[in-house]
Amino acid sequence: MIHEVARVLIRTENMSKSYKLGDERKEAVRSLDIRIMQGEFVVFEGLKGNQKNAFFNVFGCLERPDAGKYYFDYEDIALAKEDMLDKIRKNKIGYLFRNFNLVNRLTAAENIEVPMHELNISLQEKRNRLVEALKSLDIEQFAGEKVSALSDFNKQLVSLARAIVNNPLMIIADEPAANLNSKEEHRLMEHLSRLNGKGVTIMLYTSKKTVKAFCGYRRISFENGMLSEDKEEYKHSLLRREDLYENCSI
Amino acid sequence: MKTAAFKEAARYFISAAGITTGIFVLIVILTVAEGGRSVLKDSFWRNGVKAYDIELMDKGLASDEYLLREDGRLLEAKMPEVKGSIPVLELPALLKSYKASAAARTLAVNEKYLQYANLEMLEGSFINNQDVRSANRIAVIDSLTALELFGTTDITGQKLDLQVNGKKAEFVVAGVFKNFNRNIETLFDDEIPGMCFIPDSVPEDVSFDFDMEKLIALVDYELHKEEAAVRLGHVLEEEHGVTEMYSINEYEQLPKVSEFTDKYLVFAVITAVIGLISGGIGVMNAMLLSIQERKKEIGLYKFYGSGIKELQYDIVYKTLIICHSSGILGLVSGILAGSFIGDFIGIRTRLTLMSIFLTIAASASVGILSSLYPASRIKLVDVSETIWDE
Repeated sequence: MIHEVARVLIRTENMSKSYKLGDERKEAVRSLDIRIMQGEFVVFEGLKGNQKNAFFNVFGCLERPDAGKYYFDYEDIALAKEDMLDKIRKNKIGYLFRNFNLVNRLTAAENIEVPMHELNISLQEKRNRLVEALKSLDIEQFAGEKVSALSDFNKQLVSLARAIVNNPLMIIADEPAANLNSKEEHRLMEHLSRLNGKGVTIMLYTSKKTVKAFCGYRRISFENGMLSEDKEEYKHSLLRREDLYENCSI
Repeated sequence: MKTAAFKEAARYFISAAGITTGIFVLIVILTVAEGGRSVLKDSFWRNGVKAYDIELMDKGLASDEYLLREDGRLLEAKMPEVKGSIPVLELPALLKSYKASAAARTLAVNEKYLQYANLEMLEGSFINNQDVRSANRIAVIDSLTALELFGTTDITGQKLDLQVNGKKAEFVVAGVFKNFNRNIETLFDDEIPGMCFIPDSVPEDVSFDFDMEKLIALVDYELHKEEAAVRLGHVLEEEHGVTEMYSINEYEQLPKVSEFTDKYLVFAVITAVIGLISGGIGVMNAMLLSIQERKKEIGLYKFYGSGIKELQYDIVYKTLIICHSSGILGLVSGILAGSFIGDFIGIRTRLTLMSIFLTIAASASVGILSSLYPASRIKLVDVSETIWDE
């Protein structure tokens, strides 16, 4: 699961994205120029509601930018076709949601398998990936349980297992600790840090100060859709930004 | 979870109740109609003859002058294609047993009438050749009349009085038959009189008043319909010195059943169509509701770019299963109800492969049609709207 370091994972050039509110279109982000390296832990701030959703829709490769360029893993997302976006979301990005987005009628294992549907891999490979994801989060014991019967923390772990099952380059986490207590929050952040330590880029949106205080990160703040601050707050991160940018090709 | 699944299944089946009802009504009518057809269709026509009913065009004419009992033998003698004949004499008779009396349509016929009308004997036997020759005073009555007169159908050998215009004669019951026509009609009308048959030689022998209702000629199957009618007419016209006096028609095999079928099949088809349409709309609504309930799940599958086709197939399969199950439920309950009605009116109901095929085809068509719109709605689910919290 260790990816090559010093690789630009995300690059935007004058990128803008709007969203629809009633009959109007509002700007979520405007003229954004940003580079995120693989292995960075980035915390976003200053985006609210639909604005944040529109931002993650683009960064999560669900939608294309309205203007400008957005490159994800050297792929021009503005020009990418729908099936390419599907492929990127399935293979290269993992997602953690505040509300878990699990299918209640399915078991934990079945939920984790969802991103592997229609993937061109053998059943054995699917099984191996599932087992590896379960083991890495130590949740094998409730693999066969319906997720509706699990606690919020365990639901989030299942959600995280689903996010990592295809060995993604990046995990987008939208308020993942919103429904957790401080102990659970701590354990979840430990998992994310561990994944980050293995080279997985983490894009976290959180309003919890305790989460932000947990680990070193790069903080990107927005104000009225414009980038207002891009600051490093590395305290005890395993990877430092200067290390990441060393030997950078772009 | 089990309760939720049960509730969901129950919701689907209630939505599809129209399909069950439609198929039920259709199958009841079809099984009864098919059963009726098979009762009347069987053996007579295998003997290589067709029956022609010969009647006077003007019913007001005296039948004892222009259409006689002996005309049958005349036709047999002059036309080699005529293999037999049945004079049908009608008597306005009242039947009296030792305990009750009943009005019955009394016909004096010969032994061939059993096959002509395809009567099914329940007890005893029909009039035979010997009874006709010897003018035996025997009577054969239908089962409902037997019940009215004796309270049972096991009445072979019992005595029965026939009273015609004040004249009375004693007869012995030789047999009891199932009166299919009357049984069907009594479902809708209680005023249909019973039936009684006596040998055609008896009315003259007892001096009963009678009308020659018709003469039935049994003609070789090979002879063309028009030619047969023309030649039969010629022989009779020549004999009686008249022209254009006779109405000659090929015997309609299934008059009553056809009437019954025509009358109620239209009703059945309309009910079935309304049922199928309303059931289809019901299932479609249930599916749309299910999509609404599973919007988040669908959004998630779409988000991962997978399983959309599976979800669409799932909708189609589920709809097909619901529609087929409802159709089969309608089919089975229709067969059972048809069989119950069949027992009641005294026929053995029949289900053709075509009816089963129609049921399956109708449910499948409704299933596919009502699944297309919900399945197409899956594509319209907004992923962004469903996966993010706000």
